[in-house]
Amino acid sequence: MEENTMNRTRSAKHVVALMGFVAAIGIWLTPNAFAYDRYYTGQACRSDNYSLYNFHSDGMTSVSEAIDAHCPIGGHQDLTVDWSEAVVWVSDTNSLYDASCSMVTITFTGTVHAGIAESSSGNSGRQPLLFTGSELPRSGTPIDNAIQSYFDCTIKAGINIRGYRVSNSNL
Amino acid sequence: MRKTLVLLLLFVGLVCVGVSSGAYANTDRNYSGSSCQPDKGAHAYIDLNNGAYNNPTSTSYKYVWCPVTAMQSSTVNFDEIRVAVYDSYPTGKVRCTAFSKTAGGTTYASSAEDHDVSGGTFSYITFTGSELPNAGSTMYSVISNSLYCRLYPDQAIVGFSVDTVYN
Repeated sequence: MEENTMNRTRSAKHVVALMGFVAAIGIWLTPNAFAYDRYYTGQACRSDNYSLYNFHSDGMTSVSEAIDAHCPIGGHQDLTVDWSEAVVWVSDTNSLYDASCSMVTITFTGTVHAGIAESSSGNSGRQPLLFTGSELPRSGTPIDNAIQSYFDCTIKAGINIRGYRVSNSNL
Repeated sequence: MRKTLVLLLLFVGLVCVGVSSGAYANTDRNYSGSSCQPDKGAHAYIDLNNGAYNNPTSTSYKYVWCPVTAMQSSTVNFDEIRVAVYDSYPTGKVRCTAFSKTAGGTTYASSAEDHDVSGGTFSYITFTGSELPNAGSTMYSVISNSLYCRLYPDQAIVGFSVDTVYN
């Protein structure tokens, strides 16, 4: 009788331990489970002078000279943003420092949080500009009442913004 | 003590699975035609106040790019794409093509789908099955999704919706 009770207790512990193990595997397989990504094509970007850029299936391209591009970040589900990482994919094949982007978040009260700009290293084909830590608005700490976020980019002739991604734990 | 720890771990794991599975469920996203962008040379003719509308002052067809944004994963598996169009041009059809591009530079293009009805009507261009980019099969490392549409004068993209199996 006592041995049966001990066996049942031991079995129950094994089940619980197994479930815990499965849960741990679940956590391990879902890195940043609480962080949400959003992807945007370069065709969402815009610039002031229509004659200086073009769109195609690979995004937005500066056709004749350097342009400033504004690339909006939409689709938020929460006014609090907590950026953890961002990427801008550019094609960069012509010269050094062909693309430079900075990420900006603006609040209801007009506070502008701008991260440190990232530049492409040149002549390396398709490459991502990676934003982490202090390169993110407010160094990646939460921003309340965020009504607008975007990338401000300068791209030289022939360079294109292919797409961009933001990772946020409060989208 | 150990049991409590295991139970806590189990709870956290279940929450994680719940959150992550919700993020990648079948999703239908809707976009306004006003989010489309005129192609080069078309800015003077495309009105974006109520969809993307090729103004009748335009004497020929113009192209617009309609960005598909806020996807939650680079793994994309389209179920259906629908483009709501307004068409009163008597002969020319609204025609759209969908594109997906990967970080590695691969282009997946859909078939070019026409809008069959004209004469002041609203209807849909629909992409399903083999008409979708990569024939609706899963694409990986996708960084860009968009629609490229041809509009004759007095035609408009009112809006578009993108149904994904995984994203």
